[in-house]
Amino acid sequence: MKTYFPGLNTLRFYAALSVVLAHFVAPVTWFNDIESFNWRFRGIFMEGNTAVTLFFVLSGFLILGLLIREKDTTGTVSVRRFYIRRVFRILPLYYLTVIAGAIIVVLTWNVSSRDSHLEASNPAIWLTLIFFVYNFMRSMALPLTHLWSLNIEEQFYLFAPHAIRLVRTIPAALIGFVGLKFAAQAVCWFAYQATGRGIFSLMLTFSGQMRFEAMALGGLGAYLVYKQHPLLRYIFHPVTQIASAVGFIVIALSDVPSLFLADYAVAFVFMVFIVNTAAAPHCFYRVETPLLRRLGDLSYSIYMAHVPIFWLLYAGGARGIVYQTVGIAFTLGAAFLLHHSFEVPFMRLRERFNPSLIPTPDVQT
Amino acid sequence: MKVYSRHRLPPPYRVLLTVTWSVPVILLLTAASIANRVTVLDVRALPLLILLLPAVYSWREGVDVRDDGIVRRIHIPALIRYDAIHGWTHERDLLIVWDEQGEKLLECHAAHLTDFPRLTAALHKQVQ
Repeated sequence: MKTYFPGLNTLRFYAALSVVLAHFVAPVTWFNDIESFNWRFRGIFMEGNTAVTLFFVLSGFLILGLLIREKDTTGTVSVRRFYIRRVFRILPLYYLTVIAGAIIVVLTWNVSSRDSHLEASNPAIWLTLIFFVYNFMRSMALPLTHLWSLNIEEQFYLFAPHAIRLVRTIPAALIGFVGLKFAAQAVCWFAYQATGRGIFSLMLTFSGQMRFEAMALGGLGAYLVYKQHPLLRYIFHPVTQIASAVGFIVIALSDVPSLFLADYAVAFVFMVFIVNTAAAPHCFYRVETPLLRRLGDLSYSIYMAHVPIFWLLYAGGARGIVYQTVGIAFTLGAAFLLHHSFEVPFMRLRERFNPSLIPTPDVQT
Repeated sequence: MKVYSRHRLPPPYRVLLTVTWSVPVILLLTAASIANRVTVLDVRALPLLILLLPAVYSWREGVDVRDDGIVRRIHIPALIRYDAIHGWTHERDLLIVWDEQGEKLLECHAAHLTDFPRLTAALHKQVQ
């Protein structure tokens, strides 16, 4: 299995930019400014939630793919090395963002909303941020609101390497996991429809955020590619490529229904799209240029930096088109600086913990 | 035109693949109809039906044996007349049919088709 997949960096950048654009409306909560509803530019970009699903599938494809490969070549998975690699990859920039967020909250206290004050004064929220369980707080009024998806990703990778190490048949385990989660959500949905009890609604909300199925489906795609599975004949087929491209466009341009059923369909379409982009001998929608590849490298920094920057700009008085264009420019600039001065040194450290059989992938997650 | 035999994917795989490619469309349309009150007949749902193409393809993929030739439903569908077939070989579970210019008209694995011996028997009978 290759370690560099052309075209995936472009997808990562597209997903990151979609999330950035989706967060232009965030000042509604931060500063009680209903006007910012009108300021959102979407164009060819996805809804933020859908873009996060794309991130999850990409993450599963790349990270579970590496674990599958490690197990196949060495017979096991070094969980310790995996966690060390994750720590070097994710934690430094994550905690830097949390610290920056805390400082920004203090600096802009006088202009931010009452909701923000309430959330910022709640020590539990800061603890959940530190311990990667922020997604359970459903906090929306801090410049760190976007970290929920990182938390969910790390919660998944808390058990994923153990599962890959222990299970005998990886695809059956991944499909079984997706099926179980689907069944559990379906039970919750029916229970909520039948009883109307809030607990079921809450369970649906949390399980809907925890899109583990997206990462599992990404891992399934990686398994098919790594094993050169006969099913690839159908996935790489021009008919499937056309269908997945149309599916991707429809999903990107529409408002995906916020019902758990849709999440599975979206993740499946993304998995097929990603497998084709990464590994099909001929793929008409694979796009990669040196610039897009470099911008894709910045995706994690873009994702982490944009919300605090938007907050600062808004608090500083930027509005409308200025807020948007300067917001994107500053985000890209900050991401460039963060990537080269902060991410890369830690990624170099991380390389020491790669199993010798597995070269460092060029595409980082 | 009478079809003497149809050779498709073995039933479990054929059904499984068709269902797999159909499920996302069903899920999306169901979710849309529950959440947004969009019906299947809504024009906005039409592009989603393109997602069913792989399901249709998986269901129909195979080879039909007819009087005038064999119908290839693998990759791009086409009728291959017996007189256009210059030769064929079946080695190591791989069937290859070629024309006078030596170009492949059909290539398929025995394991991918039901009732494979009937297909090779038809070729044996019709192609000199």
